[in-house]
Amino acid sequence: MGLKGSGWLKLRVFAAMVAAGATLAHAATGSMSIRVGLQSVPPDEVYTSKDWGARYKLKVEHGSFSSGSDILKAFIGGRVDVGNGGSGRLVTMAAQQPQLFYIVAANQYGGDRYGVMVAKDSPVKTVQELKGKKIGAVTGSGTYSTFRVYLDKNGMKESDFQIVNMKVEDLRAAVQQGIIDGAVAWEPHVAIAETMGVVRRIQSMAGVNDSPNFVLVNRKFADANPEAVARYIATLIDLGELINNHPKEAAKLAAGQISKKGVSVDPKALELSFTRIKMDPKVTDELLSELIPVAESMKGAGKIGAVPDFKTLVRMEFYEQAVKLRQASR
Amino acid sequence: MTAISTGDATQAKGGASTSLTRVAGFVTFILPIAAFLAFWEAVVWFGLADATILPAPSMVLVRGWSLLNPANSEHSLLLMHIGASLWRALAAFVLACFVAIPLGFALGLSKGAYRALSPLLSLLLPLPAVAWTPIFLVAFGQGEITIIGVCFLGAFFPILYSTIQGVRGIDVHSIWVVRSMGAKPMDLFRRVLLPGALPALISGLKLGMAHSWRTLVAAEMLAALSFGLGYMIFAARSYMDVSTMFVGIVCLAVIGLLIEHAIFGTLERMTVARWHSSGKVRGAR
Repeated sequence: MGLKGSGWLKLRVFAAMVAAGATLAHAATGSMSIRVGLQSVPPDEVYTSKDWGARYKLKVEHGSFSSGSDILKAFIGGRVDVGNGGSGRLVTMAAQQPQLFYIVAANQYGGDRYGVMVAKDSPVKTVQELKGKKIGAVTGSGTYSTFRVYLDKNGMKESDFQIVNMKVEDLRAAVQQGIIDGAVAWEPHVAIAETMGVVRRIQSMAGVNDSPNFVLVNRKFADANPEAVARYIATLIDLGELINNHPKEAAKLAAGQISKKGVSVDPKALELSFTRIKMDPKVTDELLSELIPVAESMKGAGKIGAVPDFKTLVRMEFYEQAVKLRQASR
Repeated sequence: MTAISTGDATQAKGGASTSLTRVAGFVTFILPIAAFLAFWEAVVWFGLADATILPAPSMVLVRGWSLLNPANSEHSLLLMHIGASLWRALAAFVLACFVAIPLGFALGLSKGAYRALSPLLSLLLPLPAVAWTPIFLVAFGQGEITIIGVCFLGAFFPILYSTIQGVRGIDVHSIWVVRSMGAKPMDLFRRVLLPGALPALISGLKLGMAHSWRTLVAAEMLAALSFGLGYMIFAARSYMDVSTMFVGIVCLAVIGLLIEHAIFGTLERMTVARWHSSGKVRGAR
């Protein structure tokens, strides 16, 4: 009986080892896929321009969306496994549906990707000089929140200006035509307008905050496919390296990808834009801490009940595994 | 022989006169458009408008030509965008015809059915089709189903209402007369209902196609995953490529015009105009 019992146990251990071995072997050599929501922004255009997953035997299925909000709708609806969102939407999701996702990486961040621009021939040289004048902005955006922090840090307030809520695509023309005296916009809109020679950037938001976007992965998918998530993050590290270290090459790829839609954009504008964007998928405490004031402000406005504990949503093991994968694939 | 020659001469004279009338008609049609384009070009040329905001027609033409890529039409981006948009708008229009025309005939002929459905239709009619896009996006996500579904709603109501009005406008005595002569339902439909309702129906089809085409742009801006003129305009706007935006707008206008003149104009000439001139549809009002 004892022998029989011991044999049965050995058999089960052996079966478990075979199963684990098969899983590991599949993970190490097999190809897998992941569905990613992307939008028409330069880093995503670079990502779409080539098969970043090939190096890690990962099939990345791109879904193209018109906005970050549409990506998150598709993410909540289960139509994509990976989405990304700015702090406002992320806080809302963390407060309402924390069980749905993990934060696995940082997407683009850096205050330098936000700037204040004025018309090329405007005499205005500082934000201070815009006091009492019309400033165009997308008032619900992360860019505008960062601008408010900038004003606060520099002894100014919103009421010092006439804020005009507009679509980001319309800001350049409005500044150019003198409908507004200045505009707060994000990249690549500032860089494109500058490269067209119709506006000047008078103030960068660098150093104000980093206003990070984070990469979210569906929990069920991540639990069932941890290797695919790690491989995907490895592709993001590769993407970040290209954009940070070779912005000219990244700009060419992005311009090529954009031209496939029939749209023409100057690669120099995209290159300038890439020099202002930080791309490093590592989630740091500093980046995460930027969500707290946003959440507190939303709680104060009654949009959420309590400030979520963001640290419990972060899973760094995928990133660590991704770093190992990159080293192994060299 | 002389009679034949005289006939030929009269025919030739008539033919020349028709050609002249057509040329004059074409010139009358094209002249205001040409004048408008010349004015627009001059405005940009003399610096009254900034070309980065309002590109001159010549710039739009150059950009359109490069997108058309005539040397390699298989890889013409513009044709791909146009093809995707046409397919969506026509698919929506055909679907709307299949549903709205039979329903319109049924509601036009049956007062009871009309009374039953009229409140619902009156409730839905004022809603712009584009307003359904967010609901379709939530239900079906981005892609063809959402775009075609929204365009379908754009085309459906004009066709339905025109069909109902066309059928209800038919003189009831014509129906009685044909019935009393032993006509079967199919004969009644072919010889009275369809010809009688056709003028209103064609107007409805024109409106339906126009609504479908207009709705398409907004639907593609929100829901297209890759190609389509609306998608192209939206993508160009994101990257401040104003010339490409204008190429898209000009294409939408020209294609809309061609659809109305080439398809519905021909249909009208082949049916309503011919039947009415030959007096075949006197029973219809």
